[in-house]
Amino acid sequence: MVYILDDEALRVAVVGMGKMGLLHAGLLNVLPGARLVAVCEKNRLMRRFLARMLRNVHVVDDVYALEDMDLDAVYVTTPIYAHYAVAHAVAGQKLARHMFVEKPLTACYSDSRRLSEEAHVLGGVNMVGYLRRFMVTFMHAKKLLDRDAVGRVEAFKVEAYSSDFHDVAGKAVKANSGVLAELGSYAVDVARWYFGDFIVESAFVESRLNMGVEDAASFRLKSVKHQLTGEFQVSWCVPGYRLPQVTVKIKGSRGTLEVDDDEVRVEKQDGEAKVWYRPDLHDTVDYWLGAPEYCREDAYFLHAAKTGETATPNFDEAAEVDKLLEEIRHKAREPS
Amino acid sequence: MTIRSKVLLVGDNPFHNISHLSQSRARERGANPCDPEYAARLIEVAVENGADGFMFSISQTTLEILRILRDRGRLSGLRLYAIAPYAYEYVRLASQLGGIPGLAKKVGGEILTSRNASALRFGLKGVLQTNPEALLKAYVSYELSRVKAYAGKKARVETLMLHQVVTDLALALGMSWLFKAYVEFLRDLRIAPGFNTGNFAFLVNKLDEWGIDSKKTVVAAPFNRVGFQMTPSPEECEEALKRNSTLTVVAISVLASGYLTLVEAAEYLRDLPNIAGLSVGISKEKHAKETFRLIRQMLG
Repeated sequence: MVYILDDEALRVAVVGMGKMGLLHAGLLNVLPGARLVAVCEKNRLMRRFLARMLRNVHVVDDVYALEDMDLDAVYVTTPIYAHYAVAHAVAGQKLARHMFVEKPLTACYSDSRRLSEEAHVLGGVNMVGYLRRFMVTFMHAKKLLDRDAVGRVEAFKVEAYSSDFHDVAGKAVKANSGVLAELGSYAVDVARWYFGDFIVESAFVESRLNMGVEDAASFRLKSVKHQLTGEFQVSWCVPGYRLPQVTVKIKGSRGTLEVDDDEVRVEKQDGEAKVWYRPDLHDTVDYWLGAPEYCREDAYFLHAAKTGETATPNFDEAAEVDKLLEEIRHKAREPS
Repeated sequence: MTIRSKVLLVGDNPFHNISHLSQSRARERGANPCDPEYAARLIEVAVENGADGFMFSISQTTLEILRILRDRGRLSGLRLYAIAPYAYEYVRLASQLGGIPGLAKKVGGEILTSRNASALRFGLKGVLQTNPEALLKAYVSYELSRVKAYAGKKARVETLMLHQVVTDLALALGMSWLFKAYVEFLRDLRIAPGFNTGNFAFLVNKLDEWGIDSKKTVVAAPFNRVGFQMTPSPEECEEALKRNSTLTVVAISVLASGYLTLVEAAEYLRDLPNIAGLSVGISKEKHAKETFRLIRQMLG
């Protein structure tokens, strides 16, 4: 995907200046199709430093302070629990026509549904930051699946692991949300992107670290349209995952396909096998920050906002991910 | 600069179990290269076969490697190219501590307990006056004090480079003040300022545009035959390299994380102008021997 972004810049604000907020703010400031006009941050000390560090950018403490800034787009990169309140304010006050919200859309399905409706009324482009849709490996696997490269898909397995909370015994740790929202949402979104809608067949969720959130989950999703079942394993307590990683293992009628953040592997029943790494897949972008997919994602959103094309995954699709996450939690609470 | 003057550095990625090509490959490699004793041995072998120095992110693992090399008397003459912060650890800590405010408190606490006078003085000034330049100086002083504590005061620290994520974020946000303050402060300390970047061409242009004297500033950036991580394109990076004559450019990702052979990597670099040195990671003694012997043969 190459997006031609002209110099007529969209005026953009970023709400929530944590890791993701800083990253998007940087990219929006450097991509030719956007101009970072304002950032919004609740933490007073952070705000004071941001005001000294970012010249020619407004630094505000409340989303309502973005009124009268003539914004075209707002990025919502707050902790997940605040997504709804901020995005609702953006839509309700018409602070900008276009909205990007980091994944998952909100912490509960009913809020996501409501937000989706509000975004329809607002009329601009809306999108949720499911980054793996912009990784060259997952994009390539999608193309291969669309071409039936391994025949009819019979089964699949998704693993979403990180070592973020591995080996933390005795340390004071805290998480704003659980592994299902942080990593499980990626796993579910990729599965929906590849195979369509699902219902939850079974689920098991564990809290291991006394943080009041789930730390590991395993569940089975069944396709609504096809005879297809997927097994999912999600955890942030797994050793060896220096960076979070999603792996999808697919069994087709003519072979297997495996994709993760770094590579795509196809093995066909006739013995033919092929591996693609990032260097094979033209993993280049205009600006490298964190990883190339961030730039690709932002360029795609800006392109959609400029042309009025629908961006995917939009709020509607992301709400369906939140619905499944909620059903997984619900199913896990049912007596076995 | 002649080909003979190229500096060959041992990169630390394998010692942190990093493979930019494939995490699963790093997992298969096992924990051996992360053992500081083993890593120190690999550096010794590399030096015996032509390596001049060690390029490393400042982490507990690499500090321990420095301590072992110092205890064995193998540090004198070894050129140290340090990188801070060790971004992975900070990102992980931010996840574990509920975000950036939690991380800032932890790092602030570490600076306080470091008892480094410069770090404390600049840190206090930074917080009391909301002065980001002073905080930057506090952080740099703190990281350098860690290196000196493990490597000794006589260690040959050639440069302290800002990590790629920090460089590229500051670059994207147009924070010219940070680049100016960093360059000036490091020069005051008689250490070459350095930047690790994924946006070499962009950085070179901005340093020019901002009027920053980049003489002897070290820049570590990806250069490899397949253009892996060369942003926005290999052509633009090579063009910027040709134009530049003041920066000390160290090529990284020269093997495209194992995608290329050593010979392919060396042939490409041999033909590039203005490359002052390169960094290569090694995970086995055999690799350490073969890699540096071959590169030294091919690049002089």
